[in-house]
Amino acid sequence: MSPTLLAALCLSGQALATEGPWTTPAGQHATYTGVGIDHFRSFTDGDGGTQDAPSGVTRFGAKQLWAAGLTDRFDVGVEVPYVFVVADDPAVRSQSAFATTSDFSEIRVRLRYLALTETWRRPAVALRGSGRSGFAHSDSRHRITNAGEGTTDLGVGLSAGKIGLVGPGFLTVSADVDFWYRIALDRVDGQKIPANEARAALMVQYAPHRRFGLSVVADGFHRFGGYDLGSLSGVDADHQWAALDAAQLKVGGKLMHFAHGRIPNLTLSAYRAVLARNNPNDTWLVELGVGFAFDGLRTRRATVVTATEPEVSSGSEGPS
Amino acid sequence: MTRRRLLASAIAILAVPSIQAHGASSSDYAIVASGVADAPVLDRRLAKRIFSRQVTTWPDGTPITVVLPPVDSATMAWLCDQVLGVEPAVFVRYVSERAYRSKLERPLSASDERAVAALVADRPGTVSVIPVDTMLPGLATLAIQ
Repeated sequence: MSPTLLAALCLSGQALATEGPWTTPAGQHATYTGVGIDHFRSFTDGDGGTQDAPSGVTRFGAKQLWAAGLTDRFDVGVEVPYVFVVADDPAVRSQSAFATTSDFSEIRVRLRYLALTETWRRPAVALRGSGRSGFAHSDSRHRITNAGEGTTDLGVGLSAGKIGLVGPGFLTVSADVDFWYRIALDRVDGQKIPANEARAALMVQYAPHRRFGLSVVADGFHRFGGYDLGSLSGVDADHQWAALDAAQLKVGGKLMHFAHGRIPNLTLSAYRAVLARNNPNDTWLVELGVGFAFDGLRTRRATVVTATEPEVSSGSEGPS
Repeated sequence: MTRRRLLASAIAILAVPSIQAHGASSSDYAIVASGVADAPVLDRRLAKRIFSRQVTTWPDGTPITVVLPPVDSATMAWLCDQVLGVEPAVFVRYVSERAYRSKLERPLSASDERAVAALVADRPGTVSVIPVDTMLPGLATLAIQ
């Protein structure tokens, strides 16, 4: 098997946070800035076998997310990630497949509509339409140290979520499911490259304290077709990662520090891959994020119970 | 017949919990409402859902407006201890999170308990907790079963 087929992808990168159905309120803005690091070396192929790449790959990333409420039920969000990807072993960095990459990853835009508000019997439900593109890193998409697959995809999604008092704290649960139509880069033997894929995420957060919450998150994707690692004959080397019949599931947790006073929302996240197919099986990542929500909040605050409480009120996380 | 009169005739006053909260007897505080024709008999779970904004209408369809006591007051401590089962600060955080996410109006508040009572009396469909010595005409007590 060619070393260039080992590992790679990092399809979902550091954009793992579940978004939930809760749209940004009308006239308000929310931002999230995250910096993180992820790493992989070992991968699982299509037969379930495990192999190590000649070198581990480390990715340093920064992303900026912004969301704005167009109405109370309709918001728009933009995510711009930038990554620096480097092979751990300096000896392989001169190889084209392991060349250091520094570029924008997948830039994403999404519109979200809160279709159902929450009642105690029913979760809030939102519909989402998204677009993402890796045009910025298209020239380096063949590398193991890529910034993405260089594709342009269109997605539709559904989110549901609920928040309520449970025990001595409050519980927030959300689930997200997306289907991505991936615009073809190529066709080989009648098969579109890349195949379409689905993504799902689940978050359970519990906040027993006014300043802190703890989340458990699962986030995964599944591609509906493609090739196994090592069976890519006839596929253009530029498309070798996009052509894979890939899947991965990561699980992890988040420690949230809720905004109060002048201190914004802070989030420390850590994830680990637990299942993979034609994808890294040892991916871990850590991300530190800071979120702000502004405009409109001050106006609302003057009339509410938190008027006597200086801290406020924003979403527990940015639009991720 | 006005809604307030309907409410007065519909409310049942039931036994109060015997648990002590923050040095105050449960009988020192009352859950009160105004202007609701078919106010329900509250069990603790329903009261919790009302104050946590998970139940947002009275049985007759009237929207529920929640008025919360001042955050640092003994009344808020009683509400959180006897009804909600959370610390006041956690409840305030929950209120903020829920308002941001659900787009519901946040609960109203007032500077002191007498002002809370006046606010409830002035707004049909409103519910709150007040010390019994701040009770005003037109307010009906919703006892917890």
